Amino acid sequence: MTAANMQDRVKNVVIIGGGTAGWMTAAGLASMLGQTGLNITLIESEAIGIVGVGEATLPHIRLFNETIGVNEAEFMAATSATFKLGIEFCDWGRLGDSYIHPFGEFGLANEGVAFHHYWRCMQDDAETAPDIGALDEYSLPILACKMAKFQPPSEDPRSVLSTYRYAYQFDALQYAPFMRDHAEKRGVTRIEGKVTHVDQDSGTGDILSVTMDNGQSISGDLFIDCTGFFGLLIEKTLETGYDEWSKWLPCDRAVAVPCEHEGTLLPYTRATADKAGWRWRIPLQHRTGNGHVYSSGFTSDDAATDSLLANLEGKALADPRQLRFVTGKRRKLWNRNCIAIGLSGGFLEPLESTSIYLIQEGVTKLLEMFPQTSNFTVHAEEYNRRMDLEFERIRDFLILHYHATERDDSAFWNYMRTMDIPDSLAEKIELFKSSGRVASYNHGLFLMPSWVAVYIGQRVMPQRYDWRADRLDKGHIKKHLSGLRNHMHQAAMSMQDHASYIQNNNMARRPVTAAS
Amino acid sequence: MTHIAPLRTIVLAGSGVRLALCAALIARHCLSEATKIIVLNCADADIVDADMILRPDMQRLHNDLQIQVDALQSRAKARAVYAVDCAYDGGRIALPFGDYGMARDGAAFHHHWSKGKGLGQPYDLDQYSPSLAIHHGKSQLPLAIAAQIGIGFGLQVDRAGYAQLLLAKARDLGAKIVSAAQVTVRKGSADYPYSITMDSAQFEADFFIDVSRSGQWAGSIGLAETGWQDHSLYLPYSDQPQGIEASHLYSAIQRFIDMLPTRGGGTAERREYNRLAQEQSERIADMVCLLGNDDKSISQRPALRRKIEVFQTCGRIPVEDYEVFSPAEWLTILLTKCGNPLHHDRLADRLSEQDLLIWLDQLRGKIGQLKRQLESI
Repeated sequence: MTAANMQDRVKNVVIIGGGTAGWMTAAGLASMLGQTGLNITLIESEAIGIVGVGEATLPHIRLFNETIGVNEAEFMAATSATFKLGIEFCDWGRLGDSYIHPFGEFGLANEGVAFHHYWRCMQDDAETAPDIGALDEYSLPILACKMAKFQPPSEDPRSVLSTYRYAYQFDALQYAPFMRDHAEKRGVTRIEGKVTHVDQDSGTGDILSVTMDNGQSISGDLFIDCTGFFGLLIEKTLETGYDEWSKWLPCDRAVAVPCEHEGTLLPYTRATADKAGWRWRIPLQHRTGNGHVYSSGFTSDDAATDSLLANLEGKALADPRQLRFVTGKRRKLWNRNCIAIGLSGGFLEPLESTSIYLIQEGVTKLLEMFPQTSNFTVHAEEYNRRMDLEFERIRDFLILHYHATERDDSAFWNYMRTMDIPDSLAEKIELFKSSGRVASYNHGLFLMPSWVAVYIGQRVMPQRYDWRADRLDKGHIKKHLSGLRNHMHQAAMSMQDHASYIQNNNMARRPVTAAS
Repeated sequence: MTHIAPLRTIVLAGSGVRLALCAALIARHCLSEATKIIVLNCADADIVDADMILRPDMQRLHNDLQIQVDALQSRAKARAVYAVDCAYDGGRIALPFGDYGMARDGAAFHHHWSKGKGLGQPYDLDQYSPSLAIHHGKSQLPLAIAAQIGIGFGLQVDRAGYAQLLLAKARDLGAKIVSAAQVTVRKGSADYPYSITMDSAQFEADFFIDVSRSGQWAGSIGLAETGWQDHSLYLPYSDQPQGIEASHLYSAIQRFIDMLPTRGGGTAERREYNRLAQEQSERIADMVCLLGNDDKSISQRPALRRKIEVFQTCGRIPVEDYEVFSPAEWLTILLTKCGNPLHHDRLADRLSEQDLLIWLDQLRGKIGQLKRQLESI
């Protein structure tokens, strides 16, 4: 770098907001760039509550944690976390239906033909169908979910125990303090207080500084907006604009309440479709997180709350908490010298646990595109392009859950079932219906097993299968499937009990407190 | 119950390596009791009496077809290659098949190298490429040794010998190979979409694949451009940069096999094939355009323009959904065209300047040592 460039070097990053997004961003930047002369300041106010977004996560969080040096056992204990091998969807295709979207494969591909084609081929034959069973029976993580088992995957690719991945379910209100502790140990400066004024450059519109309620002014080169739906910098200041997707994802409210944990500690999240949305249940070590995501156009707040409370599995531990949102994303997640991460950037509702994933991607892509100097137009364009792709591809996958339904028991489901969907999704569904094939993309979160799980789970059955499956003798396939099913069942049985694994590996609850 | 009606007859027409590759792969994956594969081996117009380069991804084809190294050596005169030479701006550059150096601290190697340059280390990036070290070396590695040293390589093969090897494989797998002096293809009946006349014989096909470079038969059945339309496929052809011809064809056929239609079906599969094929062709066209150094054409290619702008700014190389060329190949040409990026990746600053210079020195030393060892073989 030249001396002139050194002068222009990005040295100060200011993060506004200290919830999940704020502290994940701070921890990510400090861990990866703290030693490069980057000063990171986070401003938050204890007077402003945090949404505590996302208690359930996707397997990608493990890479994030590993990259920034988080110790798994400490993290599990501090956030009262449990392991997660998938998401169960109840009542989505039809009332009474249930399937699990697993974090892993179905069976084994053979001769370049994905397993589900062989399964479909056998299921399609009246003679072989009774012995074949459901597709679920060929997924180790699904079997483990049903048996409440867990152990880390094997690193031996030949082992059936290597065919899954895992994520976590944790207390979001404990996660932010844990990340704060991690970030502060790596040099992040926390400032308590509210931002009352944002000072912009009169020419460029860039943010120069923020002023606190005590009059203190904090200047920076880059500002990260983690102020949640409020969008203090990205919207209130920079007026970036928002692309609404509520015509496809009309749920706009949520009500959440924790309850006492009862029964077996399950390694999966449950999403149960309701009359005008769906209810979540997330088992943690010390309690169960519950919520109801719904569309205010199709039900009232009171009715949604009643439905949530009526379906709790234990005694409520707090009053229900309401949340309002609009599904969609900012037109630019990186605008001028401000980057919106978390709810300030957009919200796609928590159906597939993508909220924390999108925060993580926001941080990771920022690290990849982190500018050396304040001339970052190109960085911003590339960052926005890649984040837009993430949002749009997740959006399509979420819409599939609502649209691929036979439910006609409420106005909400009638709307979802019959609405127009994005062309990109319509083409994917048509391809699967036609031949059981899944459209392939290199970028994007959800891969073939995820799409297959939801399609089959919600009764989108392919009219045909890959006819190369017929090249194998049906007796041979039947024998192979039977052996595989038994092998998977035995492997799942051999795994450890989920709760015992947590206890035996020093992961039992020890939350980080203010004093610690 | 689902009614699956496999294609009864798939007919391929063409010549040379293109036909042989397509025939072997289709026979390997599509032939069954219900499905015949007929390969019309036409006049030798497409055969060029020369060697051809196979990129490293072609190893998957050889594994799939169980073609052994011995056969490649003895029948196709195969030898290992680690880079391809390309014409660029009046000169030539070598695009390596393997990476430069190794990533560290979250930053690709060239960012560390770029930073080292700024600190005064004098060596060019190619000094840190094992692939280029071997490519520029004096000796040719036997395939058995190449397979052992853990650096990705392609093959240089005799075109005619390779075609014969693949065609023999197609025959062994059960495809019917027929030499044909003159072939005409016409739209057929409701039962069979195509009627094919070959010399004096005539037969029907459910699906027709035009493997010729020029689309010799595609026009007569309404296929103006490469792609899949109705019940026929016109496979793409690219010859630049060196080595792309076989890879492009291989991935197109593989993609078709992945989307293999049933009789009467295939609308959604066709659309997906054409979408993916188009994406891949765009990436190849991006590379050709960059090698051609035609600024006007570059300005009309958004993905390529983005690659150039982002690289010039921060040294990163944006990855599209379907990349054909490796990051090392893009890096080589971008560095040649654009020079050093304005800035290196900030993540490279995690390594101290002193440690960086020591590390770069060690890496270069190891590559030099490897080169000397291989030259002594």
